[in-house]
Amino acid sequence: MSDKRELLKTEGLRFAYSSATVLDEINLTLLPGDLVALLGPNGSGKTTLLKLLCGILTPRAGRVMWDGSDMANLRRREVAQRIAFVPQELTVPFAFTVSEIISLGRTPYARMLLGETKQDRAAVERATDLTGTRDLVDRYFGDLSGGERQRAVIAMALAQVAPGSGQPAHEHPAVLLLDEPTVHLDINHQIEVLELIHSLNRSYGLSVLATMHDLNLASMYFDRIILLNAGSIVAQGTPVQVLSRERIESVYGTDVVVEGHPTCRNTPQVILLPTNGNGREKAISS
Amino acid sequence: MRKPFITLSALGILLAATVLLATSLGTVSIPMGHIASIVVKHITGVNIGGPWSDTQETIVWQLRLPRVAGAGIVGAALAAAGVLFQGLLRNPIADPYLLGTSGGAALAATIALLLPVTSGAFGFTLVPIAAFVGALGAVLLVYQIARVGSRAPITTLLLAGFAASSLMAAAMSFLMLTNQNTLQRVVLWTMGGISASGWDTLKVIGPLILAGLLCALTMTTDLNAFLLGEDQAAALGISVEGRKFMLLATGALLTGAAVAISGLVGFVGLIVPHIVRLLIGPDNRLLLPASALSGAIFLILADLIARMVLSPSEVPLGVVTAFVGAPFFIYLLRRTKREYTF
Repeated sequence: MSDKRELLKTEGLRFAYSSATVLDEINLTLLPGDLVALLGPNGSGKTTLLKLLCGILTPRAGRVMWDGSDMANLRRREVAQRIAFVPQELTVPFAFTVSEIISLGRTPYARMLLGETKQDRAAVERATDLTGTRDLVDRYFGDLSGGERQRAVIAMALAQVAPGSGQPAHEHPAVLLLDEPTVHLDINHQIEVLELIHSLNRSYGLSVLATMHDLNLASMYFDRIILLNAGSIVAQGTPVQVLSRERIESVYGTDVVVEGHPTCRNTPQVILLPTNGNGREKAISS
Repeated sequence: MRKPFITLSALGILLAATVLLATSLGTVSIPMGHIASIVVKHITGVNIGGPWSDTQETIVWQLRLPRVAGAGIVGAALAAAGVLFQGLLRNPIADPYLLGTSGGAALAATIALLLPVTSGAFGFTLVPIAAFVGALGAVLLVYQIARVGSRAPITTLLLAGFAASSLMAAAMSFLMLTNQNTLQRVVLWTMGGISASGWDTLKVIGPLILAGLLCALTMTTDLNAFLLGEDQAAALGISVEGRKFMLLATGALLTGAAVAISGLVGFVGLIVPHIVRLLIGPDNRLLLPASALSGAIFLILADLIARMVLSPSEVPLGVVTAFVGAPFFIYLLRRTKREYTF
């Protein structure tokens, strides 16, 4: 993609719940087609940062810029038409079907007292196809497994930021923010969901920023990593640049070894070292 | 959303049939053809059909129709308010009375019953006015208590509603104990009953409820988003706090207007939205208008039963709604294909 306009950019972002500062001096930029993982220990402010980026939370200081303009000056629904948020877990009271859930993604396009447009339906259809949720549409959202649920919510997010029918993606740049998309999932579903996110990024130019707790999956699937610690960015760059042994040990306070992935290039893998004697013995004896 | 037009048309026809039936039945039964002609005569001045006696005309136009219409708009208002509160609070056991409306209305009505004043304003006695102001005031109070800065979190709202309701119930109990002679009237009022005395009261309450329903209809998409939680609603482009206040205010207006002419009719606002949801699904864009129509049908029928069963004396409306509504709801819960999972 030739144009490298800055879709999402934060300038000196600061946030605090009541008195405790959660994020401070956050400066980051998301370009069209970016695929970025946000890493950091629990409580480092990952989720809070995502919520600031899509306007769920309002910064205490600094600002979030969307495509060159201060998000505080944009209408909420304009922002929602470009930035979708996939929460860690979505719960819905009452028995909504999957197709009803995906259609809720069109909320920012709703016209008062009027029904869905042709474009709304097209966006929902396309999101359904892209996420492979066609078989799920008539099932109740509450009955889905974790992996199916995650795909349905990603479909809702896609419907939310979908460009109008036939409009190429680079004329309607959009950002997907995902909060721990693989948490609570089995390894097969972790791979499935990350492959889906990866292909949406590669085939349709969707910019992605996802918080991750699994360093190795982040290294395998994401082009760039931003590492947070105690509310500040401590490193950002490619997985090779960010995931060094020294840095992980200092941020997470855990002994690790970092090695190359046996089959993927430029994909460091973090191997944990046990800290107590028993663990080590077991490792040696087996 | 499946076939909204067909669903709403069917309910509209059913409502018209219910109105005819309820106006026709009573201690004196009146042919339905006469009812239609009398209505046409009073609205357009054109005389078709007949002949009917003056007594029949008085019964239909002065007695039964205002009462049926009163039951209808109260039912519609309470059912719509139930949809609003259940959606906003994401709580299946929420009803229009949850956030202090019933306590506020009851306390204010009790005070009004104790006052030596009998006259009111706008053609109303003091009790309905007090009930309306009490219900609306209670919700605003609860909202103020729950507000932290610019936010009013749902959990805090629920807790504040509970606290305010308890306080007002205690105040009401105290007033009732110290004024035993009005005890029975207060108790009867809290059990509910349509007391629309002719068209005058309806001319005030009707437009209020209609405005509330229209306002609610414009917010059904927002209500859907609220079902996903406040964060997700914000991510979908809703201005959460502003919309929340509008939804609360609309629900309170509908509830206050309803209890002003019906007292505390229970069960309609809780059960009608659930019954409709089991039949057509939880999408608020269809659920809200369908619930309003169904609430009207339900309460007209309940009021018909209330005045027929022990005729010429009446059963309190709230007793009928519970007796009819609860078993039907249990039946639906057990047989529905649309599984009730949360």
